Amino acid sequence: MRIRLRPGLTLAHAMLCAALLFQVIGTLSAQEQSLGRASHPERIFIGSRADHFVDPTGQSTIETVAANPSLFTPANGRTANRGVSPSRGAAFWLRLRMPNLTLENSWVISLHESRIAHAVLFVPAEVGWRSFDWNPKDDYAAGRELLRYPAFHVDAASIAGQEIFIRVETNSSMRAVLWLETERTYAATYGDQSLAFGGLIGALTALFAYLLAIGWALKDGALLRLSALVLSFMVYVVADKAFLETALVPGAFDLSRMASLSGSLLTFAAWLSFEACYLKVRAYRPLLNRVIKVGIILLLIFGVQVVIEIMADVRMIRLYSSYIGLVALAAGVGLALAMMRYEWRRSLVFLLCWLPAIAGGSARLLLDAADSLAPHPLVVNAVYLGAGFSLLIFGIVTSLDIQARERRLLRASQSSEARFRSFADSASDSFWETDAKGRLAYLAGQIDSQTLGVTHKSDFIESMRGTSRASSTQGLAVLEKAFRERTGFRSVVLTVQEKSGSDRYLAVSGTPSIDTQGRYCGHRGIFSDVTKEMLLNERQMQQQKMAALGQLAGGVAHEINNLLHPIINLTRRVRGSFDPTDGRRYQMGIVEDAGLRAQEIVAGILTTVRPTLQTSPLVPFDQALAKAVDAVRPAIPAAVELDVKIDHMDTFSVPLGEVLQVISNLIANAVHALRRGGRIEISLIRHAQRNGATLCIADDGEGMDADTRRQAFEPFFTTKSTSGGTGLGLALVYRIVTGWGASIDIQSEVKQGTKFVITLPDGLRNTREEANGHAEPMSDPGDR
Amino acid sequence: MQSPCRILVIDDVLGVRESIRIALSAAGYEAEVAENGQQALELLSSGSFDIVVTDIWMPGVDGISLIKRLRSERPHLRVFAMTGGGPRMTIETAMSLAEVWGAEEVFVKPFDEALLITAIEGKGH
Repeated sequence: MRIRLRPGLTLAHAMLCAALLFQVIGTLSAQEQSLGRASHPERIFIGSRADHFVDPTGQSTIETVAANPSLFTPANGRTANRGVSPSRGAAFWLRLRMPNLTLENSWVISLHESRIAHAVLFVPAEVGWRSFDWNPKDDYAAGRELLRYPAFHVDAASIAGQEIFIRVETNSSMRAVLWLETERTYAATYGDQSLAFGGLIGALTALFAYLLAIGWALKDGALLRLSALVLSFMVYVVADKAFLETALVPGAFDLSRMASLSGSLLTFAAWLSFEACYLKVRAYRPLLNRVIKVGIILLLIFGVQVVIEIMADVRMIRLYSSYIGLVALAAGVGLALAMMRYEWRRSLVFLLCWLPAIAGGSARLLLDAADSLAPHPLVVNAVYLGAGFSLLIFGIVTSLDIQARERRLLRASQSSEARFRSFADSASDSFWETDAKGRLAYLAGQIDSQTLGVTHKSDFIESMRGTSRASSTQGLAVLEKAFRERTGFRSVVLTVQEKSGSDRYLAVSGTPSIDTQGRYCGHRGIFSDVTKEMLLNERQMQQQKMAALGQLAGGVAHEINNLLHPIINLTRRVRGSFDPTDGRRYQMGIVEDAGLRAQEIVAGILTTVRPTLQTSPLVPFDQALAKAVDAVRPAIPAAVELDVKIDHMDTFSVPLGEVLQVISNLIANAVHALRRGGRIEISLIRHAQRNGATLCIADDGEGMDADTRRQAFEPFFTTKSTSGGTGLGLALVYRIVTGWGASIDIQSEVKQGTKFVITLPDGLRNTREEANGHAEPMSDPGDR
Repeated sequence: MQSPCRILVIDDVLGVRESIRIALSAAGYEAEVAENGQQALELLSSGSFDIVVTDIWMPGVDGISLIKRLRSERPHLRVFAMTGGGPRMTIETAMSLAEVWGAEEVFVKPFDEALLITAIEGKGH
């Protein structure tokens, strides 16, 4: 256990400390009264001067007793102590000679012993004895103020130097804790004691409420047991110091006796139970724990039995309660020592904290158990002070312990969260969590809330719908269904639009999170950025398609060329044999033209899908681009605005003709998409610190849907059905760009424009150099 | 005038070889046809030919192999090649290979046969 006092103590701590301080001051002041002024003539302890005698039948009269001085055991300088009353009705007689009183006229003789049923003071009179009666039951019946212990008001003159007798009837301890005080001092002492015990009871009440509340909230067995201990001890103090029958429930004399006796036994039971729990006996020594449990159960049974005994006016367990208490205390100390082996820190703290209580309790119990011991007035109260002190200390220690534990847990959870966050931040994935209502509760990682367009506590799916492209509808439906049905989902790809306008592909996986009670708490999962994979995949698919198409087109072109050859040549020959005025010559001309047109188409296909020999000069890419843009500029309609930005890029040279073809085709495409006018942006951005560059040709025209986007590079795919597109333009662009070793992607959505992104990676070689090294192996003609 | 120049036209497609044969005959050449490399070799060994016009992509003995062989065996024989490309060979590759192995000129089908005749006449007799 680590205890560290911090300035930021809670209000409960402050209250506990204040109560403790208050109690300590009260106790000290009471002690000062009893000890510091012990020799003061206004307050004299006369218990040690009293001779005593126990009359077992209680039949002896003052005359008998006064006439038989030998009945008394003479005082030996120590306070008389005869333990628990030996029988019902027994009387405890005290005889003592009063000192010479000179200061005041009014004095009080008080016997500081609770639960005295009846006490009588006999003072010699001119004839016989003058008696002063103290009977709380009669006082209560007569409506007089109830006092916690007997007190007799006498004149100095009537007692000074006189031999007096006191007869005490009690079911409890027979002890001569006898004081002689002036009236003023008596009143002050009585008040101080009430104040000190009131403070103790108040502090215990606060401690009980605090421990119960915190133990209940934390479901902590040790704290709940400690609160039970505080409660039982409080009941014991209230009853034993006679506050119950005098202040709380006036006249409840029997209830007070029951509560006092039963409370003391229950206190021991609660104490042992708390100790066993606090020292984790069950975990380390299960057998010992069972023994302790049996002891606790016995104590509880005794606690109930004494109540029955008092109600039935029987004396059994009552007679041995002090021995039971001593055994319980010894067991507790022994247990703490035995547990030193396993939990030495806790055991040590336990022993240290409970030392005052154990010492006080033992002293008091020994007084009850052994009548040979003289009760020093301090020792009689030591149990209350010691136990109260221990409880308060332990309450504070425990609450500090809880706070330290909370801090540790907080630190652990903070460090765990920080660790998790750093993992998440260094991972390419992001981690998300929603609450049961589907609102975003947590998001960490590379893909931040800005990219996703979600904010804390916003509806996850609705927010994603806001940022996702239309093509994500299907994926969002999957998410929606999974959230509704509280099921998991894996790698659902959503396309979100970044601020820069480019697309980002995110694979979302999630699983419902269920708490320990089996309740649904939301979903949690990850986002993975699969943009690269998706683009690569698209490119690969495109490449495969183009390769297959190239092969197919090559084969078809070969066949058709072979067929066209005789068609064109023989038609031409036959046509030439007709007279110019002959209609058949005209008809043959049509056939020949059709053949030539077919030849052009086949050549176009071959140009698109097969590389051609480059005859165009090699020009640095930026210059080629600028020239190409200049060349096509005149063909752009006036309603279309052209915005060009070209970074310097001369590490890579390309045939001018190829760039021209690429630019003219892409611009023709953009112009087609901008039928009502608009803007075309051409930008060549060189990559920072690298040799690569990105060429973007963007328009804000009609855009493409997903299907169009996918098929755009396929030969003969055209949307320009009415304006005579051949569907070869983008296929040619694709072939040329990939021929450079670059890649081309389309970013487009319907009504949101189209952006062609050509990425020229690092370390591109000039295409001509590559072409010069090219020598395709001859194929096996036989497999045709 | 000497006996007419004999030309062997080799192509696996009937239309092509017949069309060229007709054109050559009309131009005054004596043209014969073969439908593949094997048949061509047989004809070449049995009769004398001055010029060979061969397709490149053919089943059996293909045009490139034929050109290579004729170049080594009959260095004085003039060879013209023609190609329409193919599933495994681009027109450009076919053309470069034919040129490398000694074809005088390579024509991409469909071509104007007048150009072939011009070529034959340009360097010929």
